[in-house]
Amino acid sequence: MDSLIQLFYDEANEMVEGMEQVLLALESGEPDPETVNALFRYAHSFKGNSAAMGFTHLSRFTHGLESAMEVLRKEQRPLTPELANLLLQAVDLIRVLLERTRTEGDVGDPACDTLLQQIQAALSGSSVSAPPTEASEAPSASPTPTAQQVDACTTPTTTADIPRYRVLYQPAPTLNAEHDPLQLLTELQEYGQILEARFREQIPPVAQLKPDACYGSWEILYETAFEPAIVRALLELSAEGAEVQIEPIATIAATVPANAKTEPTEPVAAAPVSTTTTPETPSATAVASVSPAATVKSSESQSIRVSTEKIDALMNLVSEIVIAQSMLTNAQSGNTDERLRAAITQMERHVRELHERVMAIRLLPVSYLFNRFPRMVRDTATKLGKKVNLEMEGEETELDRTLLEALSDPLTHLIRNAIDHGIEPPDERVRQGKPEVGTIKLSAYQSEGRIYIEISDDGKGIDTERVRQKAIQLGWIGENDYPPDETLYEFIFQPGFSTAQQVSDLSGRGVGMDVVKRNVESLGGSISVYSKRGEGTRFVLRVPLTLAIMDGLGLVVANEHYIVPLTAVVEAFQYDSLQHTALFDQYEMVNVRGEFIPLLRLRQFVGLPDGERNGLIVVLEQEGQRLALQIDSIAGQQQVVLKSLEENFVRVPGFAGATILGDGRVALILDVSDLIRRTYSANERLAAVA
Amino acid sequence: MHTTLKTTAKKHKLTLSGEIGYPESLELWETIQHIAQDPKDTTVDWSNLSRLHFSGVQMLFALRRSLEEHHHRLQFSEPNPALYQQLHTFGVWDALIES
Repeated sequence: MDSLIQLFYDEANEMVEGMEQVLLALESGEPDPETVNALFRYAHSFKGNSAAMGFTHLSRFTHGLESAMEVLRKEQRPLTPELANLLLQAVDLIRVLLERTRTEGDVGDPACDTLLQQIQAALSGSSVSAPPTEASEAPSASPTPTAQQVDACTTPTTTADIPRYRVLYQPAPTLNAEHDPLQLLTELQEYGQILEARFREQIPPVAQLKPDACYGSWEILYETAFEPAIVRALLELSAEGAEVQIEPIATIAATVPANAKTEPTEPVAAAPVSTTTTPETPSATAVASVSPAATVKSSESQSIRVSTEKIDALMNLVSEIVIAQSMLTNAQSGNTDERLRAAITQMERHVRELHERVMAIRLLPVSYLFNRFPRMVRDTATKLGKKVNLEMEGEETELDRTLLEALSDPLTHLIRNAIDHGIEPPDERVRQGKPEVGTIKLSAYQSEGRIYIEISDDGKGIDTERVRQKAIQLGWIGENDYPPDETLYEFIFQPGFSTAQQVSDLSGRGVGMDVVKRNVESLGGSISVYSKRGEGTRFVLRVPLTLAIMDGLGLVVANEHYIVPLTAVVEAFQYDSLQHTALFDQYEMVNVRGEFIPLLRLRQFVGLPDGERNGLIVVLEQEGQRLALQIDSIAGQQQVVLKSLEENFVRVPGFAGATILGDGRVALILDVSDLIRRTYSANERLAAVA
Repeated sequence: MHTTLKTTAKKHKLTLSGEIGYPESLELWETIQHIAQDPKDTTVDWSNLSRLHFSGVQMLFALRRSLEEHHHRLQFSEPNPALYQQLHTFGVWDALIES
């Protein structure tokens, strides 16, 4: 039962999010019948699922919403801003109620009836009083019309895009007061439409009949927007021993490869096989038979929900296997047994594939994160009296689930900042010859083995002079200092920095951007800012694909091993003093085919005594900047499991984490971005002095 | 009473009314056994029956089979529309009445 409840919450959250997305799409675009249908289906499914779980208040509330949406759908009404606001508030209220059911069970809220009343009033065109903003703040309304009163029509209309199923239902063998198959089938009609039911029975004469035995079963053609699992749960959980088979009536083309032979796509025969009417009784609807040729094997098994804990446990196990495999490879390095070497090589391949496949399970499209922003942008812009259009690109880019969750807060803050500080009020934009509606672009893409997320706006850009004045005021620079723009941009990421003239509840408290930067860096990522006065600002976040396992290159300095991400390595070559240039014996550069690249001696960086001055140079590149790293030797390429230094020790500048090598030793993993930044900053300071 | 039986020399008339859930169907079961032991043409008046537990439905099927074994008929009056709709939608009507 616990897994069923978890399934309910998972689906409920998806449906609520879906409702919100559809409402926002409806609000910003032309009324589209299919979009309204989608909205109706979400509400209808949510209602049924809630009822199946016994959450009657939630079910009743969404029932009322469904009715309102039915009016929108049937009468093709436009979604007015007032109605959109109310429906979005209803979505928020569902979220609140949903969360409360976790701890309080089947709970309601007076705000539900009030909100339904307001929605009904908005639909009928009468005035609407100010709606409550949160469930807890809602007035204790006197008994108001219930959802049933608001309801106009609750029977779902059969539409071509509602999935159909062939349901084989064998009730539990024993009948009793709680187990009545007819009652269950009646409840099934709450969640969909029984298009045809074939009753099969082997009922004996009275002498052999056992009154508590069940002799019947059903084959049902059923249309529902619900998940089959909910239908199954309804029928199976009512009494022990029931057997239910659910097969989707789907087109073959949808489930087999494109080059496979396909069956006709129309799944249902047009001719009715049985229609029965009696003159005085309600007319029976025409029924259709299931075409066995058009049915396909159940798609229920094509995907399953697995708890993230289980996936994380699997990932940890794979990480340990990677380490063990590395140890095995290390242990057999001197072995000449060809069979053993071949077996280990094969195992390496399999472990790598295992790792990649488990990693793929953890990857989620960034749309999971991006989809929450349209609502936030809408609400924030409305609150600030601004007009903002959010454009999103690359939502299909996949990212590790842990990273996605960790990026939520930084992105939220950056987008709020863009609306609050970046986008100008509509009249100001018009005065400047800009479109009245500002644009914020949110895009994601993969490059150089990393994920890039960009947030850009076409607002006023960063006022570098104001940043400079603020830095002077904070004592960070002198009055006559004029640092380059890049340095000034860095100030906005410092704790306590804010140029906002008014502190709002959205931004301007100076406690945000430093947290943004720290959060991104704690993920092994980095953040850059580009801005042009009057034209806009662009933040670029770079994060690794995953936090778990990576391909690394082993570097050796004074017999100590270090790891550098393989994606950052450009080339390696023997150090040649002729390539070397130094300024004040500190500002060291290496000439690589005419390109002067700053040199960092790793031995010096980690505080080891001077030793080998020659050795090897490994050229590293990140974000378009290069660094020549001098080391003693290369230990080889290997997969490494990242262990956080911050969690297990403290954050160490220049290092992204640690790993366990095949021989059991610990190696530090270099943070290439940080090393490059530190080297370039030091060199710039030296150049400035020079 | 949800179940009443009137018997004449040639016929039984079984009247069902209200809601017959599982407990009430046991009362119906006694009556049906009585009819089966004294088989005659039987009419079921269920015009005022709004709900019948599946157990009761099976009893009517069984009664029809028992009566047919003795060449008697089981006939039904016009049902309550709600009950008809339910039995028809779930395919039971056809099996009980039409087949």
